[in-house]
Amino acid sequence: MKELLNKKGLIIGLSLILLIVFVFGGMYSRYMTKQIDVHEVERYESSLVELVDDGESLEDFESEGANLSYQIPGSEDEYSPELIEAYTVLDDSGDEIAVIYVIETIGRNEGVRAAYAISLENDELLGMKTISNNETPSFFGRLNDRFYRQFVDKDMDVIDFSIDAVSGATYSSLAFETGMKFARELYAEDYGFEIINVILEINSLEYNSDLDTINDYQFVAEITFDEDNKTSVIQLDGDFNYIGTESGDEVTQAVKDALPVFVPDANLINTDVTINNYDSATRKLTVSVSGFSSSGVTIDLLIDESLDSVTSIEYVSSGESYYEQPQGSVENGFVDTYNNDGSIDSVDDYAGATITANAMKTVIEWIQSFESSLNGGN
Amino acid sequence: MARFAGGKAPFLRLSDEKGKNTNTIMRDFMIALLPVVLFSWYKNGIQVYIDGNINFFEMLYPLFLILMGGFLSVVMEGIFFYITDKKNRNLNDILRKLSTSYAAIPGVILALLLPVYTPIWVLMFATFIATIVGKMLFGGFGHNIFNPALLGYAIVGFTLSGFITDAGGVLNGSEILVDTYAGATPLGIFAQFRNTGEAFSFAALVEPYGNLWDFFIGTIPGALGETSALAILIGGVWLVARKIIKWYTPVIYVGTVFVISWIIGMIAGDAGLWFPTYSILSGGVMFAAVFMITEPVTTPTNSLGKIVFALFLGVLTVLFRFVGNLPEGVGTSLILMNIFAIPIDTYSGIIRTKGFKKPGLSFISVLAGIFLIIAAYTIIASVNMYTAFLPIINIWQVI
Repeated sequence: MKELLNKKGLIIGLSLILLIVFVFGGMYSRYMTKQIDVHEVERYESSLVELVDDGESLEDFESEGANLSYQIPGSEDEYSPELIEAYTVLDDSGDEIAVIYVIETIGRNEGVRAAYAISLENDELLGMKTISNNETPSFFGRLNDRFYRQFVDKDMDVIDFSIDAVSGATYSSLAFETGMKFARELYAEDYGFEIINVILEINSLEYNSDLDTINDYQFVAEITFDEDNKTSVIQLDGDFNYIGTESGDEVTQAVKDALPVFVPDANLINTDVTINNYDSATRKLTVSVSGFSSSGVTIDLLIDESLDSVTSIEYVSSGESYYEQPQGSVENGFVDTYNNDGSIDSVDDYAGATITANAMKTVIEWIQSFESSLNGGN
Repeated sequence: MARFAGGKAPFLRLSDEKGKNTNTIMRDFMIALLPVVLFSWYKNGIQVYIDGNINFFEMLYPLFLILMGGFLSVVMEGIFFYITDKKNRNLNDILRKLSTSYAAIPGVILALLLPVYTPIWVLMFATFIATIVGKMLFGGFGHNIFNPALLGYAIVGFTLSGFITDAGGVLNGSEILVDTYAGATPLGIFAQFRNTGEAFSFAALVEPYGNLWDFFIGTIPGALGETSALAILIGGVWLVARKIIKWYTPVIYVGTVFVISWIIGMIAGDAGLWFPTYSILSGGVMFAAVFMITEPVTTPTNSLGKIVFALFLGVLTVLFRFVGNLPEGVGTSLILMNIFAIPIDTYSGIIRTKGFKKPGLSFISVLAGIFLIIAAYTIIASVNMYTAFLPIINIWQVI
């Protein structure tokens, strides 16, 4: 051995050095590569924890799951969102304070993956974070901060558990809304949260044409509700909030709360016209219709003495503006034609003011309908 | 009467500073590499650690990789000396040979040419190719034809680059988080544009990485030692000041790349200086200019030869960026030019001693012709140039 070391010691030593570098250097390299994945997981988990204030760490969570189907955006077909993983979020004392569901849904394309964090303390959706997607970047990029803020501290104990879609990214918006709703269903399964469930059908909806009560409520609706199929005729304000019952069964509070959601969804009549005020002394009914601007166009209807017809209409004000024409000209054009002819059939389309013209057509159609229903339609 | 040295480079003039010898040249070379090594460690290790994206142990890896390049090179040369010289196998003999072989330098340069996540076994293989195949099999220091580090880099680039990518690739722990980098170096993005035939633009090539100042400082993705033009220039100034390298060799090389790129940019419809500036600050142009084309063994030794070498190298670098399989053209062009270093040196030496007479004149005429042809082809080979030519071709067809 000693002789071998004397003779070959140097080459053995040099070779050993190479071997050591190969083994330990290789381990170092592998460690470096492995760390890339470790850091990626750390960053991922950290980004999830950041959804929850006071969140410190994550713990794997086994969800009960939920078997629900939702409509594929732009299709009649349905699909079941996929629960990818779930975590509970712990605070610095190790208490569970929130649950996070990572859910994959379908937008324009498959694979919209996002995390939804729900507070265990107050049953609120705390926030949402996109994990990955295969959406068209130019469309997906339209989802702005305002859109994402809708998911922050959102009350889940409501009938209207939805978000406003972003124009130009409707399908992507729907993917997140579906994910959010599915997360609520999962939360209900896992933590016994009761999702408000209302049985309600809107059978009919019409404007209130009774000038004595028109300032009190704007709409009259016939509804069927509860498992016993109770029916009522109810009064609603301009935002479809419950005002009173005209006839039928007593309406429950859950149904009252659900009306502002269910009535517009029923889409029974055009409700673009808003009744602002009726002055019985002057017999002047003021209404407005939304157009290009949020303030829209305001019109006065002069009711005759017998209260059964509209004598004339007057243009009051408008927030509309349009291309190369003075403000109010389009609105006045419709008003004058209506007052002279009793209809607007002779009005040509207004190029460059299409939305305003459509608003005026809507309000005049409404006036004609309203007039026919005045005084019981006599 | 003038005296001329025979044999292989490097040569040291007697008139040079007293006390300067090959040892001091190599020592100065290592000093010049120091800013590059330190910046590389800072950018790929320290800064990433400060960012909180890696731990302390990971922070040491870039420095470990660079130092290991030099160390492995020394060990492999030691083993080579042991095996090939049976009469001098004791430690002192080998250490004496190693001290005049400057084994560490190609290893360090090789490591600086590699990505930060290069596995150690890949570095070992590259070092073996560089030291044993590229240097010792040719006869050792002063006898090699190819730049050893470059040979190791090229072989790894052609054969093992997939393993480097799998191990983590070129982006460090902070760069991987930057979405605009899209997982690629500037030249990687450039290659994508080149392959699709899309016209390049400042917004597409430079803006994802910040601005040209970032390119100059070196805070962009790239191989360990090639990103910081500033650190390389500091090293270059040191080498020039110490008279280790001639200033005009890197200047002519970088200038040629700049001018050819500028012409291509102008013909492509963008006359801005950003494109030629981007061309010289991306990839390994600056590193090669200071540390590789000035290497005394594998490049011409006389002034005229250096100029010719740098001119051709500049044109070929741009050419290979447009037509090569790899995004970078520096390595391929330098290996090619290494082959021609000896004839260039020989004929340019004749011209220096005998003036522009036969055969020197014919030699220089042939060289000039080849240069013009390659330069023209380089410009035409650029996709953007061809696109710019299309209207002219169409008009010609109409006529």
